[in-house]
Amino acid sequence: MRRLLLAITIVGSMALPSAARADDDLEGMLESAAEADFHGVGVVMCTWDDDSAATTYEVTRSDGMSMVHGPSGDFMLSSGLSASRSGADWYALEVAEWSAWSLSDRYSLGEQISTTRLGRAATEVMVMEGDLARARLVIDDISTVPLLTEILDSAGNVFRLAVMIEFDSEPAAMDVPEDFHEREMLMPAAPSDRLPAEIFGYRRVDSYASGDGTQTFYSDGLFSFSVFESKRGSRPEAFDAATRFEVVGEKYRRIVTPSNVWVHWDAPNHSYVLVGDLPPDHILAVLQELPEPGNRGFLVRLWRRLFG
Amino acid sequence: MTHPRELLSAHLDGELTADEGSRVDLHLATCADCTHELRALASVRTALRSLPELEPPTPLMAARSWSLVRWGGGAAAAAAVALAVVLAVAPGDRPAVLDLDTMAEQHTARLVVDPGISTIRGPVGGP
Repeated sequence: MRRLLLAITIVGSMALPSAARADDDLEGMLESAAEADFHGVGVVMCTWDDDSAATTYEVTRSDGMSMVHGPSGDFMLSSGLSASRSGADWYALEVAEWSAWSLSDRYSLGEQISTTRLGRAATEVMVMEGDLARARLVIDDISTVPLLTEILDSAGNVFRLAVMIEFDSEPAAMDVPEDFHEREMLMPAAPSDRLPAEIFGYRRVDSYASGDGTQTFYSDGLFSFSVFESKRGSRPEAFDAATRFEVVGEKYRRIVTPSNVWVHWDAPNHSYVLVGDLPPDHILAVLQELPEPGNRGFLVRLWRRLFG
Repeated sequence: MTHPRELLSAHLDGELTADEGSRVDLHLATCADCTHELRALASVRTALRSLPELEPPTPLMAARSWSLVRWGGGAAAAAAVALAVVLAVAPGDRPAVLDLDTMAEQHTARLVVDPGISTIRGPVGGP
């Protein structure tokens, strides 16, 4: 009887609709690529309407640690640690805790075609979001690292292009810092009750203390973004000359950098900065579910002035 | 431009951007309603800030209760002075100083934990 029940359970679980779980092949491909050792020189560029930014960078990854040399300087990145070099000193920021990664079931692997790139055997794959082609990748067959990544917007245009112009599946020697001049911890914090637990398929994964406010990290497993919530009026100087845009009549400012899009807005009681690698149509959908831009009335302002 | 009523209070406190301030000024030059509302807001603010200058009550009560009146007047004056001091020096919700580099570092530190699309090609670092 128990065997019969077990058999029924197995058959039942096999009959579950595949849409209820993430694509195993895509999951495996991403995990393998993230762990692979390599050395490369790449170009990454991002375009959103008239805003565009590009840069070259050199990256070496070995044993889960990446050394990156780019226009902003030298960085060392490993799981939960980001360190930057200033002069001869390294400054590290470490994440104290994080939640497990999971890939949204809205993504799946599409067509796969054998090809070559940089003289290497490679496979071109499409990442589908439902019926929409969301990304085109050319994966190096030996290392499993993407030699080309195109992120597409909802109209099929390339929003971000990252392409290796030099590549070796053997990592180069890394100048790893022996010690850090300063080492700070990014500590967990209670999530802001103004930020939803889920936005347009993105899960609110972790929240951290950030200055006087919070950093809330959202991810769908493929793309991710952080929302920094702080006191109203907090705005990085870089946004002074930022592009203004509207979403359903609400006003925002944005900055496009090679790897990220940054969006700033003031809500009645807080200011927000969103930074992430998600495509424009996702950003527009996400912004509609976050606190709306707006000003506050005189009495509220007086109260705030008196009591903070 | 539609009536920018929600911006008037911020305009009084000088919290609008130069661009927003110019647009509001331009509108005020041609809109009597908004000019009137701005004046009303300014009047309320001035009235509230003038609280410390309230005179203590005059001695209308009998001599026996005069000390109470004097005490009450003194307390009111002290409260008014305290309010004036708070209005003058209270930091309010002074905005935090943010910069893209710091936020980029915080975002990247968490980002590289996951095998997302930026991690697999090697994140660039920086903003």
